[in-house]
Order: sequence, then C-alpha cells, then structure tokens
Amino acid sequence: MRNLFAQVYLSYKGLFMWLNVPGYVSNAALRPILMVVMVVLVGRFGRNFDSLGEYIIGLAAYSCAYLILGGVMQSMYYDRGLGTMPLSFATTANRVMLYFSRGILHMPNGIVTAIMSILAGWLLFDLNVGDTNWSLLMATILLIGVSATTFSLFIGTLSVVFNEWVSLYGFVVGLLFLLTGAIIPVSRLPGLLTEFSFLLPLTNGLFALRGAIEGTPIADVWPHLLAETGVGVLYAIIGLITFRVFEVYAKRSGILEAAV
Amino acid sequence: MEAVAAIQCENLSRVYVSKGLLGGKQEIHALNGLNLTVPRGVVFGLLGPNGAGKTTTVRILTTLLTPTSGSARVLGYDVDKQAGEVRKHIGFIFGGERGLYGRLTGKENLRYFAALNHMNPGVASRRADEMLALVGLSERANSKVEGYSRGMKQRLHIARGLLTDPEVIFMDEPTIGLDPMGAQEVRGIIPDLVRQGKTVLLTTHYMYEADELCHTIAMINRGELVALGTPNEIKRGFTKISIVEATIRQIEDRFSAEISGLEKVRQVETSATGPLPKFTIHVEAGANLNDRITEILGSDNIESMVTRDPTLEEAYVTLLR
Repeated sequence: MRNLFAQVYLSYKGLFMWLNVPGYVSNAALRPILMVVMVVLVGRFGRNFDSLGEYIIGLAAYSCAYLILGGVMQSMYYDRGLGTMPLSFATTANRVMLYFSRGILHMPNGIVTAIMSILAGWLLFDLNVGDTNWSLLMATILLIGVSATTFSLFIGTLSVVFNEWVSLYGFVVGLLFLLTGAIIPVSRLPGLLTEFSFLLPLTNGLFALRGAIEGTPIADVWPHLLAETGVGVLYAIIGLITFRVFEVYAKRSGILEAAV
Repeated sequence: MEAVAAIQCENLSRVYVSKGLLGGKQEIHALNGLNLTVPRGVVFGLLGPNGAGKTTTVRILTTLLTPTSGSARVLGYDVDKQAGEVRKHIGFIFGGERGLYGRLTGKENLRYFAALNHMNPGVASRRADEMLALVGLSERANSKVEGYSRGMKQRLHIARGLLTDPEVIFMDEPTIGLDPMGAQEVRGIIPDLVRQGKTVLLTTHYMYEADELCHTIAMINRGELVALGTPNEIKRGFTKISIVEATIRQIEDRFSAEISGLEKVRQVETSATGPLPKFTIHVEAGANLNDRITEILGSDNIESMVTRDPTLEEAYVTLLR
C-alpha cells in the first residue's frame, strides 16, 4: 500500500509540470471562475437570458474534466518524453497500478475546480442553491471526477502512442465542450451525435448534477449515475488495454528507443 | 552440472523497420546473428563504434526491446518469454541525462523506482541512502534533480541501477559525462560489484576503461561479433600487429613516406611527445623492422625507440577499420 502511495504521489509530483502555487491557483481556481464569468456574461448579452444555472453547472463539470484531462495527458506524455516510461516498463511494477497511479491525484484537482465553478456561480451570479441536495451534489461531482480521470488516462495513453498531446488535448476538450451537454443540451445535437454523447464522460453525470442543484432525490437520477459509472469503467478498461498493447508494441517496434 | 551463464545470446538479430512518407519501407539491421555467452561474476565489455548494435543488445537483454529472431537469456530466463523473471534480477544504467524526474529530488527518484520494484519501503529508504552515499550524492540527496549537473545525474542513474541489488548489471556508457575523478570513482565501484558475485555487462567508448575493468571483451561491428577474448588476447591475438614507437629530434618530410613504403608496415602515425616528434608505426606481428627504421630516421636522430604490444584502442581501430 505504501508503495502504491509512493507511486501515485511521486509520479504526480515528478510529471505534473504546473504543480506550483501560481500554476495551481491560476488553473484550478482562477480559470474556472473566469470561464463561468465569461460564458454567463456572453449568454446574458447574447440572449438576454437570466436563468443561467444550467450553464454554470455545465461549466463546473466541464472544468473538472478539462483540468483532469490536461494534467493526466501532460503527465503521461512527459513520462515518455523524459525517458522515464521505458525504465518503468523494465521494472516488475504492476501494470494496473502503474497505469492508474498516473491519474489518481489529478482527480481532486478536477473536483476542486468543479466546486470553485459552482461557488463562483453562487457568489457572482446568484446561482440558486437553496434546494440543493448536497450529498447527491458531492457524490455526483466525485463520480464525474472518476469518469473524467479514466477517460483522461485513456486519452493520455493515446497521446503517448502518437507522441503528441497539445493538439489531441485541444480536440478532445472541444468534443467535451460541445457534445456533453455542458452548454448545448444533448437533445439538440444532430442525429447520431446525441447517441455518441452518452458514451462521453460528463453527459450522464450532468443530468444528475443539475438534478442535485434542483434538489432532486437520488432515486430519480440513479440511472444517470449508473450510466456515468459505466462510462468511467468502460474507459478504464479500454485505456488499460491500450496501455498494455502500447507497451508490447513499443518493445516490438523500438519506438521508445530514442526516448531512453 | 554446468552453471547457467549470466547472459547468453544465440543468433540474436534485430531489424528496425521505418516507413517513408510514401509507404516505402527501410530496414536497418542493428544485430545480425550475435552469439555471446557471459559467465557469472565477471565484467564483460561490449565494444564497437556508434551503430554497431551495443545499445540494441543491452535493450534486448533488459527486456525493453524484443529480438526479431534468435534468443537471449539472462540467468537462464528468456528475455522475451520470461521478461518478468529477468526484470527481478537485473539492474541497468544508461548514459545521459534522461530517465530521471527532474522535479523530484535524488532520493525521491530512488524511492519511486524502489516502489515500482516492490521493495519494502524501509529497506528501500536504507538502500537509497546507501546508494546515494556510494555515488557521492548524499549531500544533494534532497535537492531537485533538475538542478543537478550532468555528472550528478549520471551518478544518480548508477544509484538507481544498483538500488535493487541486482545480480546482473547492464551499464551502457556509465562514465559518459563524468569528470575524470567521477569516472574514476565509478570505475572503482565495478570491481566491488564483481567481488560480491555480480555480473556486469559494460559498454563503453573508452578503451582504457574496458582494458582496466573487463575480464572479457566482445567487439561488435554492424551487429556482428568481430573479436572476443580477454583484453590481452584481443591486443595480441586478433590484431596481429606490434607497435614501434620512435621519438626523434628532427623530422623530415620523407620519413613518413619511406617508413610507410617498408614491407610489413601497416600504418604510420606522427605525433609529438613534448617538443619531440614521435612516429607510431604499426608493424605486422613477428616482423623486425627496427634496423630499417633506424636507417631511415638516422641513429643519431633517434631519441628513443621501443617495440610494444598494441593498446586496446589501437587493436580496436585495426579491427574495425
């Protein structure tokens, strides 16, 4: 257990490049607040729309995934770039632990960001939290954090495979912004995109999150929680398989040779 | 019963395939049927020019790369099919600045790799301290690695490679980037490891290092073995030359051409020993050309003339030229 903690903590500290006070505050606190302010003001200006709670909740979930995805992708990509990944592959390390240890400590960052976004909505834009089911809210944020983390580990593995993370990151956060219902309701998406959106993290969780703010009891949203859990597990499995396949491929092709 | 060799390679081949933009394939044969047997408890040198296949061999033996054909075993375990077993018994040290977490301290780097290797945390901490002391990094153990000099990073690589107390240690250019004192300290560690019964496979471009440390040397070129033996066997047996060194007072343009023209002279090099010019003449083994050389240079002009065995570096150059 202590070894798992050492792996989790040291890989996080060693690979997370903006893990410093200015970097953390600007990314985990200021950026989500600014995003809420920007989107709400643009929404008000553009549509004279005062009931923007849905936007704020959507942005809270989106910010959570945005931050986790960036941190995990960066960490996994730099593990290859620093030449440390091949050395890890040459150890007897448990591959499941090796894989998930790259994501675990990024999850709290996303949760902090989601909470900061909701806080900004409440303090700056009078988000109504009077009816909130707080336990459901916290459980849903946690669940979104988990599914965003497993999704990020999968995308992070792809960034290792393709040896590129910035453009992939830009593409994926764009997908999450547009297709998860953070801003645009998934029911308004064209055709197959609606179906596809439910295979992304956040989409199902957002229904539960909005329900939690409105005070909906857990019994009414549990199918969404279950679906979000399923999506998280799905990406955990796909990501782990991809990671193992990449390890085997890297040994066969020698693509990590230059990295050592 | 015969003891299992520390390392055994049989017809080991590795081909890298790269694809061009238009889909054309290019094959690079890094290893071509390499056969090697390394007994336990020795320092085995693997020498060769850049691109000879040394690093590819080490990568295969450390389970980082699969061979295209042939087989390799470490302590009897197949590096491809029993990679997990191999990893339990090996340590490896690669030259260069990569392979470390710059944001972590030296000790944290070791703790991380100890955790990956399932070391008991208490043992890992004690062992990390011992290894840091061994490589002279105790005082900087809690400094971030990004502030280390190149030599310090290299020492940390060595500490990492020895952390798990492995039976077989692969050292790929371990003294690269170290200052002379640091390199000497590292060279001082290697005989101690062998005294503890460990086996070291060493690649290096420094011939004096191989000469000083290795019990056996394999020279490879273009993925093939070109010489195998003790340093002295390589120097004497494989090169079939002896060296005549003549230090003279005055040099004339004709000297070099006339000596080169002598039968059984393979090569003539000119250098200087202090203010005096020096000829290093490679002569076929068994040929005695001292009188002819004295005649050309002039007996009054010769300050000193000695015949000696070639150095390992000269043997290397002759073999791989």
